[in-house]
Amino acid sequence: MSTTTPPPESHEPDDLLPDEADLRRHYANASRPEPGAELDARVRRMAEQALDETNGEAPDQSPRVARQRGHSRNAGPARGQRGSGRRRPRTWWLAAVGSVAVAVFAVGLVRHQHIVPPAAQAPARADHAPMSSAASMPANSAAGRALSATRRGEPQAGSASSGPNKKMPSAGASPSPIPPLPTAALQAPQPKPKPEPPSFELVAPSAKALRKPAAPSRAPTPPTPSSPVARLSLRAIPGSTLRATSSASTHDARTLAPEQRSTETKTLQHIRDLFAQDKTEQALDLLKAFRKAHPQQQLPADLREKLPEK
Amino acid sequence: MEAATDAELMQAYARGDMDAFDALYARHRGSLYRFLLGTTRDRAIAEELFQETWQRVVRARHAYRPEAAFRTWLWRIARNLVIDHARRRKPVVTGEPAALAIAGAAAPAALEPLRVLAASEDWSQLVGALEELSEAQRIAFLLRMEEGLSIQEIADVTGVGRETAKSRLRYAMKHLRQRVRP
Repeated sequence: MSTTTPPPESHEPDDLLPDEADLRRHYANASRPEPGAELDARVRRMAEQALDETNGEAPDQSPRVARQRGHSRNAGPARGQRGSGRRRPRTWWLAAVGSVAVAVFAVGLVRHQHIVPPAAQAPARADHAPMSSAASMPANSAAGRALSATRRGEPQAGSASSGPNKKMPSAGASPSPIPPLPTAALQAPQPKPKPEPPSFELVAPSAKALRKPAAPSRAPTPPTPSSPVARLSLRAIPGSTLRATSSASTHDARTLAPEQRSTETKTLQHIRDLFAQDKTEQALDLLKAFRKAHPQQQLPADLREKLPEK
Repeated sequence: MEAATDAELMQAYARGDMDAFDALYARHRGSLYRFLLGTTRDRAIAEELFQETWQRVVRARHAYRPEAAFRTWLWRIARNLVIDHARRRKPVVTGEPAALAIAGAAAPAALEPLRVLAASEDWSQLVGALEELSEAQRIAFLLRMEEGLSIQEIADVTGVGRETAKSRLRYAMKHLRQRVRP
């Protein structure tokens, strides 16, 4: 296959076959019917229409203009920029830019989802205790619970008395590349399992549960394979805030998930906003309801003083 | 424009150059038309297939790659259309009506009337002889006579081996040589 197709007349095929010369002569002498003018016009119109459809009827792309500009081989690429070839790169760039924009938006959204909950919790913690390095581990909800416990002055159960828990990470820690910090962070915050065992202990013995993957969207940094406590803590996250509030009387606030704390923080902020907007009655109703739903939760000072004394 | 190859013209047309199409069309219109007329022996059908062939060329202009010889590609389209038509067609008009229909097809205006008449008789005689060939032999012969395709190109267009194409061509020529007057 070559691009230098010679004109039919000059094409010299392979050797002539017997009788071919005579037949060629006879064939050449015979009338050579040709398509009529109408058929020519139909074909030409069809070809022109196809170009018009491609070019979107742009005025500078008419065949007359093309003819005026000449048809040498060198003129090809310049004309190519006028026809459909010109729109292709533009479309390509649009698609590429659009894809990048969507990707950036998606990454930003994911980052936002992972970053917002700790940030929302920050004000609630600020009035109690500064953030520790362990609190910066988003996957480690056990550590987060420990912080909550610490700021309420509760004893650190895991630090002294959780012997079995202390051993758990080290038992499976053989291949872990980051044993020191996570282990310490996980061991310290274990709550005391005396009066009411935390919900995660109920599922702890289940090997099946351990194999189940933790919710990935809530754990940007996956727990190390050698830290079953982290897995258990993720398993222990209740499904909804409503359920958590209803069971708040039986469960310690330490078992609350970050989402719940975030919701509480938002509720308190909403109450503050209502006070600020002079919707005192509505704010008080909401504050009372909140207090009733979260009797164990210590209200911030600014809201406590708004609450009428019993 | 005249010096440009078929592939270059086709690419220029794909870029929007209508003159390139005109040149390409002028180069192949006559031979393609006669090929279709000779294979279908029906002017209306030949015109329909002629238009369909160019329509496919137009539609495939962006997909065309110069690596494939335009000529082979064009004739393969035409040949496939003929085969498809032959499969679904009603009985073919043969004999004198066919010769009359073909003779009625437009002839080059430059020829003087008497010569046109004689040439038409020759053509009709030729077409009458072509009818006695099998379709494959007829196609091979017309590709050779009209477009001057080599045996290998005929093999490529018809999708058979070189020896098969050569055999068909040889048989067709031998038969026609006996049928047409010297």
